[in-house]
Amino acid sequence: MSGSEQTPKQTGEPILKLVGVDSYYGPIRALEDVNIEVYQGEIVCLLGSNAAGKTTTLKTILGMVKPRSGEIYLRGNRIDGKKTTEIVAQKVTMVPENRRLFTRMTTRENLEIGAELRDDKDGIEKDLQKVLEIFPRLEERINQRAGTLSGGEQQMLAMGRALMARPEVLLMDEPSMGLAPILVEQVFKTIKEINDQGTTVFLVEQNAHMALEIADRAYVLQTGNIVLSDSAEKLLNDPKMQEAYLGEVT
Amino acid sequence: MKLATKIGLIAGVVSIYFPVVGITERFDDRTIIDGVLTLGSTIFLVIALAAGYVVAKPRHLPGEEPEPPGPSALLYGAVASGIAGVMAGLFVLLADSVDLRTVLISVTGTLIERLSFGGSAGSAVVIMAVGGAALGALGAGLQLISQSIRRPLVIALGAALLISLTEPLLNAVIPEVLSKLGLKDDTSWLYTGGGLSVTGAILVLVLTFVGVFAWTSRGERVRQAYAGRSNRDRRLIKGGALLLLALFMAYLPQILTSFLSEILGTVGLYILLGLGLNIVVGYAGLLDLGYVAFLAVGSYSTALFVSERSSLGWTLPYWQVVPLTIVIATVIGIMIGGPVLRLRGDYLAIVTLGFGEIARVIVQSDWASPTLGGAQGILGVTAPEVFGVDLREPRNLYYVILISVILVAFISWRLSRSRVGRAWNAMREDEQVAEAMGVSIIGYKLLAFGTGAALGSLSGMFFAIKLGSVFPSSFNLLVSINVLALIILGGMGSIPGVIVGAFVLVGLPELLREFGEFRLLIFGIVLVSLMLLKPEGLIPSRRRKMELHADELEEEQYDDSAGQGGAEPVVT
Repeated sequence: MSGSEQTPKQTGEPILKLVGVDSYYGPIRALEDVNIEVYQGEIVCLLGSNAAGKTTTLKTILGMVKPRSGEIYLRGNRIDGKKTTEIVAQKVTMVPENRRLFTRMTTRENLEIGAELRDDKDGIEKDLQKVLEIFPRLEERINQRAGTLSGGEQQMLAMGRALMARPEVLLMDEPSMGLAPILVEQVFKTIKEINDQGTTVFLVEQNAHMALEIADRAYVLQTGNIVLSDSAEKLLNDPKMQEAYLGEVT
Repeated sequence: MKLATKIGLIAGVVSIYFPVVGITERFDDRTIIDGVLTLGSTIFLVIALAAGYVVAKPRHLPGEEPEPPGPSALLYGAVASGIAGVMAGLFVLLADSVDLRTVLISVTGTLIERLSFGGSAGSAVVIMAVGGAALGALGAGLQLISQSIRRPLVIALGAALLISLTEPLLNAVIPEVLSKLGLKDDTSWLYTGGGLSVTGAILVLVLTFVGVFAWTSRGERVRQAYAGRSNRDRRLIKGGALLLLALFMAYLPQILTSFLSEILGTVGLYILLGLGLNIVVGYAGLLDLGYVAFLAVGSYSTALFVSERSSLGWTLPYWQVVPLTIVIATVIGIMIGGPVLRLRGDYLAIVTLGFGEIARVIVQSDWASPTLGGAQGILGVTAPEVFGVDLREPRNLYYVILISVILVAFISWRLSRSRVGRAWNAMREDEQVAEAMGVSIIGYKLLAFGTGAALGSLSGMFFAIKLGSVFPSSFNLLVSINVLALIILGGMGSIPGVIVGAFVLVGLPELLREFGEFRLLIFGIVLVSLMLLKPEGLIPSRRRKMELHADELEEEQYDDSAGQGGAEPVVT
């Protein structure tokens, strides 16, 4: 690990903390001694190429993959070993890779399922309106089947669905995947807006450049190991980074 | 032209097949229109017409406007059916000169005589070829006339055929209705000689044609008026229609024969089973092939507690047996659900299949026979009496089943629109993501199994009451398959679909009894054609319909990112 520097948002206890996490798929080790800290109000980015273990990290946090060793803390409480629904109930929500919408359900139903764990009918309706304000395109498609939406609209719906849970920590798995550059820009702008309203974002990306533009800090994952971590600004200018992930010849 | 040849060959093979297996000869005794048409010859007519009709059907790529067929279509139609005719004719010629009876026992002298229309076998070739070509052209001609006339015409022909075929059924019912209305119970104006009379046929054709024609030309306005009404009005109209249907169903046994009431009762039982399995398969997407186990649980539990001859030695009154049975079934449903929670799709199907068989083997086994009676089953299930009405009587039982069906249909309708229904839907589509959204997969799966089991046991209860006894042999795999088939046939996840599916799958074979050994063959043809024409089922749920028909192009474009890990059963 290179020497990391404190950024202004790193205050108090981290909201999400991974300590020495090892995850396995059967005999194959996918994560090795992963240490990550995410503070309240940050956008933290996890970069890495295919098969580096980015998605596994998210799945491990949500309890969909159980870590073999190591600890995961949410607001100081251990959550590793807990059931996914229990973890999700603590206001951690994921926007899965490839959107993974319920394609045969309508836009509205998709949004409603996002609020599955909430019981406040009025609050849900209010948040639905709020999501439709953020993504006006979804309003037009409200009774349309999610599978018939365009790629960009699907990404918006996936984000809207996650927001319906009123998350405090939003985990995003490659939101830029399969989108046109202009849409990617829009998506990242929205992520920034969501973050500005107080949601902590933990973002997994291959598109390092775009991600670092909005992130506060970033970790770089390589074959299951964290090899770099620093503030986004520093990483953007780090020659090693530029060579390996930003595609710029130094 | 290539298409015409292909269809012609197919039609030829089909029209040889029917006489060879003996259908033609047997059905020649069955009148369609008295003195004009027999069922045997109708088959040939339909084949020739259909071949022409299909060939002339305009073909187009999705998204393109179909080109209206030109006069050349007539030629193609004639060619197709002409080919079929020549094939059939050559077959007659062959059968006439060589004795085929050693292999094909149905090819009798009488058959050949009939097929050659009284003339020589050589003339049969000519007659069939020319007749076939003419009919094919006629069929193709149907495509040329405008839709507003074609549709009523085709429907009218179909209706005439249907009304004629159901003569034994209707001819028993109509006099009853007429006499209730205070009219003479004479049906000779409609039916003579086991089929439609000539006047009857004309009457049916004209009435249906006019009716359908009026609907296609005016129906749009009615539909628009309906759509223009407020939501509340629409709900009222729908509710009213359903009420009328319920009243009609309630009145039905009064005019039906006891035999038909009995069939209706059986159909009702299957509707209950279907509604139950529909929750498990249609809503929650858990392909359960062992559903018969719950029917067995319901039947045996009822028999155990009710029959004086059961091993328990004591009996319970029905008002206690009903809730007890449902509770037992639910518990067993959840117990079965437990171990299969982690399985999906095909694997789940195989394991549940095993459970169904285990249920049957257990009740048959020596081990359980002191309690469950082994192969002898349990006899002496007394029928409950409600206010002095004996429920064993098919008509009375019918009412109880009818009420249960209405109740269960209402429950599952409410379920499908509830939060639970939505969670099931999400789970069916993508279990992993549903879980990540906070849907408790384990809870909802067990709920689905439990609800399904409870509803299945309800049917089992009626089953035991109806027969007055229970035997292990009643609970075989075929029941599970039938229930699943009726759901698929009606449209997965759709309540009206289940009801219609049950009528078609359970009611139809009973009504086809007069066709004897060909019953299942005809039934099979009907099923296969239905699934080809309407893969989404007869009355698909809104969701399914969209899935299979709307915007198929868009579907392909975006589907790559979706549907991985979906537990959708791939039966259709």
